[in-house]
Amino acid sequence: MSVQMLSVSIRPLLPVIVLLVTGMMVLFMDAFGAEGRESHYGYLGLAGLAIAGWLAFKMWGTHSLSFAHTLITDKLSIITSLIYFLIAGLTILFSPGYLRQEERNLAEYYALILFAVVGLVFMTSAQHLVLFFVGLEVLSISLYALAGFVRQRDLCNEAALKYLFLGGFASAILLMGMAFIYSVTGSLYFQDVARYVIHSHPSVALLLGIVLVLVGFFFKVSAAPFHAWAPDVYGGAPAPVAGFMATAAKVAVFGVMLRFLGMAVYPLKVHWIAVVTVVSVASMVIGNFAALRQDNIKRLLAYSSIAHAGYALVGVAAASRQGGAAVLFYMLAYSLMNLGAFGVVSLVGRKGERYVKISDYAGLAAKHPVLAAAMAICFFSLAGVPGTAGFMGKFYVFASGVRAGQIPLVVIAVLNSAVAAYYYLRVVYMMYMEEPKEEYVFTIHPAAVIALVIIVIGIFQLGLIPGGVLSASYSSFAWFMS
Amino acid sequence: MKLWVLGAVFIPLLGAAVNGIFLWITKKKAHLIAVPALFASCICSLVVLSKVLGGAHADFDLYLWIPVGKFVVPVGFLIDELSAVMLATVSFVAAWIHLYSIGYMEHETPRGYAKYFCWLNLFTFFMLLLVSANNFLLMFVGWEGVGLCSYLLIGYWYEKASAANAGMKAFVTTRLGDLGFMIGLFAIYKYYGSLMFANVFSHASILSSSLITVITLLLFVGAVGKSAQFPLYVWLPDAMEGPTPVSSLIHAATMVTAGVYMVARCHALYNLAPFSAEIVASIGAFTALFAATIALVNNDLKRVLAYSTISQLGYMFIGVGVGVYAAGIFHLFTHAFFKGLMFLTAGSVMHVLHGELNMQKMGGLIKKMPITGWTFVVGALAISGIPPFSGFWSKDEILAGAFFHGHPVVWIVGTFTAFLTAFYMFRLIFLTFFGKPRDAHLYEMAHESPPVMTIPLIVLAIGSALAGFFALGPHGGIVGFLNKTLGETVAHGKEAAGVGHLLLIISVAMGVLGIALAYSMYIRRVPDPVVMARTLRPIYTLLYNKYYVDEVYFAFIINPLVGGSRYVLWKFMDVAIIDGVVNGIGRLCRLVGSGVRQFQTGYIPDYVWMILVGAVVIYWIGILF
Repeated sequence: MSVQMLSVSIRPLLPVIVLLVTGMMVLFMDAFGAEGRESHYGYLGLAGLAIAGWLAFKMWGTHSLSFAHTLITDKLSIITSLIYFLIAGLTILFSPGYLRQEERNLAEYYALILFAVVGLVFMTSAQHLVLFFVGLEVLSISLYALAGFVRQRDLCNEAALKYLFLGGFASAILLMGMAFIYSVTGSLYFQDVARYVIHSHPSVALLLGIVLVLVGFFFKVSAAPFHAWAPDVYGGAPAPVAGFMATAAKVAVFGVMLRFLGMAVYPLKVHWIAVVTVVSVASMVIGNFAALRQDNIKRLLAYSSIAHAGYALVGVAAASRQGGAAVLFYMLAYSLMNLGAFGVVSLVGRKGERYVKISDYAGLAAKHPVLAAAMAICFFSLAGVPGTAGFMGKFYVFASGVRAGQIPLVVIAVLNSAVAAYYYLRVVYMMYMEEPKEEYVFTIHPAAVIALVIIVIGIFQLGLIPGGVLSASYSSFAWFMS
Repeated sequence: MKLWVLGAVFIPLLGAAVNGIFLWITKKKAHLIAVPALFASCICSLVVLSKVLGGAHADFDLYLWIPVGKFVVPVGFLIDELSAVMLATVSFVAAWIHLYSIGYMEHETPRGYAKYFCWLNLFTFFMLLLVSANNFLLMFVGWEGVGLCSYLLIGYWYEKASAANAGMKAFVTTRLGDLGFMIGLFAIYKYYGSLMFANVFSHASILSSSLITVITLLLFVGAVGKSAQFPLYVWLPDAMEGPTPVSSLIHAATMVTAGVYMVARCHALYNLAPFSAEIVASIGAFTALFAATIALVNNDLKRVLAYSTISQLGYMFIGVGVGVYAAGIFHLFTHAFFKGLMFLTAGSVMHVLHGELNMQKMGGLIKKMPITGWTFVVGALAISGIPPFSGFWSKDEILAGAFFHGHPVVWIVGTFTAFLTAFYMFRLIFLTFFGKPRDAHLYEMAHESPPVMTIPLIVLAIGSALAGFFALGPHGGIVGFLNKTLGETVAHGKEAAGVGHLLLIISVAMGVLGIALAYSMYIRRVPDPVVMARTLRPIYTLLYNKYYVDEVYFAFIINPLVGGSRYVLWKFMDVAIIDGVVNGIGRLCRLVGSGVRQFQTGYIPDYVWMILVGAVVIYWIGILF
């Protein structure tokens, strides 16, 4: 570590600063600006995200440690930042129409999303568990507020409250795990923990610390058995927010998980692979089987996202560079298709989200062929149909599992994808094969159309031309030996 | 170049996508997208061909499709003389058949109409992909894609049991061939370590000749299925259940020739496997004769054409089997015109006669539908090898090739088949278009088809008449052009010009003889065909029942399979075991589902307990390992 790298440079923080300033501007301008301009702040947010994205992109290839070694700027932090900006951008595009329809067209919404992104960036840039924790809390507090944003709706309030209580509980467990790790190793720096782990025998206390930290991670990615909040929260939260929660937080936590497990406690992999494997199987089985019997599309997507966390954990259990790359790729694919699905749900749901039953999608294709096609593409991708991002993601994750010798786990995962096809295709069947029961009168905000177009292009791009993204994510996990 | 190739291949896909997604909007206007898409693709293909004529070649990758460790397959295109000719042929014929379809399908339901054009576009895309791919796997994508579209279009009238069954038969039968083809591809990857044409063919000789023989035979199994050769030809006559433009495009002009193209594409391998080449030529010759004899007595307009297609495909395999690859492809080229044309005319007849196909009920139709009739005659003259029509040139190339490359028996079979071909084709013409009308009611109904249908007929008739003259260009014409890729070194023309002329005269004489016999039997009634059928009863019955091949398949393969399936697989395996397991799993799922629901109480304290218990459990798991 050279002296120059230690010197305080704000350069790695530039994207975050841009976002913070944009968020503040949104709040200030709203306080002093004219009424009825609220959705303009969304576009201001988009501009902020674009600038931040450009700044982050310019840093690609650089590698630095700053702020007393707590903050790392490497390919993983940059690539995940870009993914957050994309997710946030798409969420913002889905929001103006939705907020207007819910009569909650407030500028705070956009500021909260920008602040959440700030938290996300810190999470995956952290080299120190406390910095990670701070980032996590910045994200979580924004999400608590966003989940209850449509406060006239009971379900929304319930979701926010549940998320707050359970999230607090999970944070407590995470902190306790960090405390155990600190008590054994004397540090919360990833490097220091790694140094300790290499040179000493694993103690029960250290393992307990690691498992408790993992429980915190698993809670945030809604892996079973720590998933119970997800259906209630995703089901109650406003649909665009649910899409944001289901994607951004997962990308971040998977990034941190791979950093923590791969950098800090890699030598203990026998232990944590066992844990991850069990949680992966539990998530896939519980997620998929519970989804089979859902009539509510938001809850269906929630269970589906539990199952997807299980698939991604297969790549974590591979404990290899290839596995890490596959997980990151999978997370991007997963984010696109889930945002698309929740986006369509937010449109079809109409005011008050009254139409969120699967049967409410009967014959949608006949009335809104393009919207139905976008939804179908997202669902095909979720089901893992070849040609889509979901297929390539699953393929790479499973391939890394096979290469790591995790054959039984991959077999379970493949069987699970077969089960999952049933409930995904049921929605597609509903849209295309059933006769329409109503006229489907709703307005589609042009911004939402742009978002859907981007998502569909992205799904096909990742499904048909995965090479570039895959090699970029492969280069982001240099710390794995194999 | 690159852009033109991509345009040629992908514009039809775009058309299919638009019609597929906007089915509800395009409805009866689907052709406004589908037909221009095809003509655009055709123009692109012709530009590509002209560039290749100017000496340009291309082998480029659009992007890496499957990069998995060492197994790297791109989406890439190979443009040389062979693929340029194929691109142009396929897109040209397809464009006119698309145009024709507007008239033919006019009475369909709006959704069916849009669906039809979507599939037809999709088919053309896959076919163009098949002939322009630069590796085996992408070619296989096209190969399977055309199979799928063929299945969908044969079963277009799926409410009709016979159409649905015919689609299934085609799919299952060609799957049998595809299995061989796939194993061939696996073997190529295993032993050559690549699926790229460039790599495999340039290193073709690194394998032992026995291994190459196995690989080429496996590939040929695929060709036998797809190109309807003996013994897997049985699906093609049934495929006539589909709309006639489909029969014309897929089951005459393009898809069924994929096998011939594949063998020609792999000529580097077949050159090293003389035994396989021998098998290809023999199967081709046998099929040519076999199918022609069945066509002699069949009374169904389209089925005669179907058997004729099988027979002509046999000719093409003779060509690629005896080593004159260019001649085989040349015949493919001319055949696309005249057989495409004849199916379209048959469709025109069907269209105005409301689906009637029995020739015995027709007669004298040429007065009512002159364009249809006379264009058919042009096609028939072409297929009968009467100079200067196109079939004469290509068939002569193949037969001369067989003769000079040491396959006299194949030559005899081929020449005799030429006689049969002329006979059954003109039997069809005299029964359908000439003589006295045998069904007054049908005759009354008949009238000429609309211009949207007759214009394609005229265009293809001109092609059928004149396409042969491509043989006369400088540097050996089209054959010499194709030989730049296919590299046939032995020039037979010069050393035996005298013998060559004799062969030519014999084959023309055969054609004329066939026509004359058909004229005398079906117009003059000497000898009366009815009497002949009675005197030669056993032969007639055998031919009329198509050698009982379907029955044999049923007795020895299908019924045992179905029986075995019913009692062993269905009643025992399926009902007892699999259903038991599946229902069990279903019950289990429901149980698991309800179990999960039990946990999903909605109460926060319960969730907290779950997290705690989960944490303890995974902690123990972590410690145990």
